[in-house]
Amino acid sequence: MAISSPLSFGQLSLWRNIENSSESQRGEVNLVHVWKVPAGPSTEDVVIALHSLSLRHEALRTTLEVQYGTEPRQIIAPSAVADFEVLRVAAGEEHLAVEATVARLDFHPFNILSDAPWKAVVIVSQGRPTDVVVTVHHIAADFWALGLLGADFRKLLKGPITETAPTPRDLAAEQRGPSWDKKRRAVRSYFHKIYSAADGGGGLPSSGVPVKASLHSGVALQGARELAAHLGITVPSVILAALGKAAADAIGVRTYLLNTMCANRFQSRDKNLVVSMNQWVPIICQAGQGRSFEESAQEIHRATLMAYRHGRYNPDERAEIREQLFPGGTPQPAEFHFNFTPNSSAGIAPDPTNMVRVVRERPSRTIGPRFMVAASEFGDLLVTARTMLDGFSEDHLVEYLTSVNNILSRYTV
Amino acid sequence: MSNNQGDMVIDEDVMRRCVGHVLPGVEDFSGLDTRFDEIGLDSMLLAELIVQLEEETDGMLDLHVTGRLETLRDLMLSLRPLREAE
Repeated sequence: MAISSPLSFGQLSLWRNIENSSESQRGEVNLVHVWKVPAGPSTEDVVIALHSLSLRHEALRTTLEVQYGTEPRQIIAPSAVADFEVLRVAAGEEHLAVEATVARLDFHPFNILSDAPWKAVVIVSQGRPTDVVVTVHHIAADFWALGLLGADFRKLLKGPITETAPTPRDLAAEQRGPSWDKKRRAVRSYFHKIYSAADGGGGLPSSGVPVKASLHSGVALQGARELAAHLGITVPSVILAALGKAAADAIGVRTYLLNTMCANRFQSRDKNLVVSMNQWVPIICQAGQGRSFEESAQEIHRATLMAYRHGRYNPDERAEIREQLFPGGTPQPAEFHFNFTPNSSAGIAPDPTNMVRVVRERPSRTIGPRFMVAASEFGDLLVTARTMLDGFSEDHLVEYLTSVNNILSRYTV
Repeated sequence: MSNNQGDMVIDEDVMRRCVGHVLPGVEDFSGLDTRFDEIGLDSMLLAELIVQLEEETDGMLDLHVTGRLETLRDLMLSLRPLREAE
């Protein structure tokens, strides 16, 4: 029998971000990955492992029940639910088949009210399974969870996993139960403090045409590393400060909310949970006020550190607090959204002599915040920005990225 | 040395347990003057360490930093119990 449960805060956050999306935007939040199949297992073994994965992780057999005026609920199917396909290809065509399947599944339009939130295609060549291309709706998994699924898939190819997996509904019950009373009060208090300090007079322009561009800069990364070492703070904090300052300058606001993506994988149970846990958590920033960029970076570092522990919250409560302080129809505070992805190249020395490049791109996704930036280190600093703001053109975005580069590169000795 | 404020007590033993939880195998760090970068504590892990300290002390914590925040001692001395009104 199917089980009905409230959503965890991470699931609810994701739903609130997509609930008003159009039919054509449905596939924009999928995560696609390719799992290599080791030598040995047959195609049937792979399909059995995929079924076992669906049985093991409730998020993979969960749909949403949504009724107007009430909070949505998750409905967990009792047996494995999945959409598996076996694709047989000629020898030597595996790679092409994987590429084509990734492209096909990338925007697969899941209906999470009725369908399983994932799909897998097993590529078979010369009778042997070589790869599994899997696409998962973001409400069922974030990047961390995708890694857990891949690890469990490899284990299941060898045999059953005996320990049970944690469930999103247990997390939802805990997050809404008495053991979280203190945490929920602290988060409400935090949001009240943040929005009380925000300025409704300096909001973002209304929705406009999506534009996208990216910055690739070794010199900016070098500058960020040198300033971070000098101030005794982390490189992401310095980069975040530069992204925020340049955004505030570009839009012309003095006080703004800087939202960073919190992975929320703090406790051991959460580290093993397959579901979307990501939530945006804000800090308040004020440009100028007699503070140097270095001082602002230090403040942002401390504020972000403490904000992360408020990263697990009921998004409806956040919206309610915002609505109380900034009712609909009145000027809203400016909110920027930044996501920094750490990676294994952190120890690699950037080459500051690399040409700084700003590349104009075609936006393929239009769901999400109106001013969103993703940054990561891949030898160079890579910053990808997408905005959807009235009057904010591709040229403005290029200027913004150039400004980020200028702020950071001046710290290169 | 410890940080005692009301019901909140954070000392080296508490810090070791919590660091060990966040970074298994690293609980035998040399002492409270250990720098974050020596044991691989980045921002996210620091946030995780603060959450773990909250679990250990059964309360919510706030960070009051006036100078540099580079060592486990700096962190220990910067933490205060978060009052409900805050």
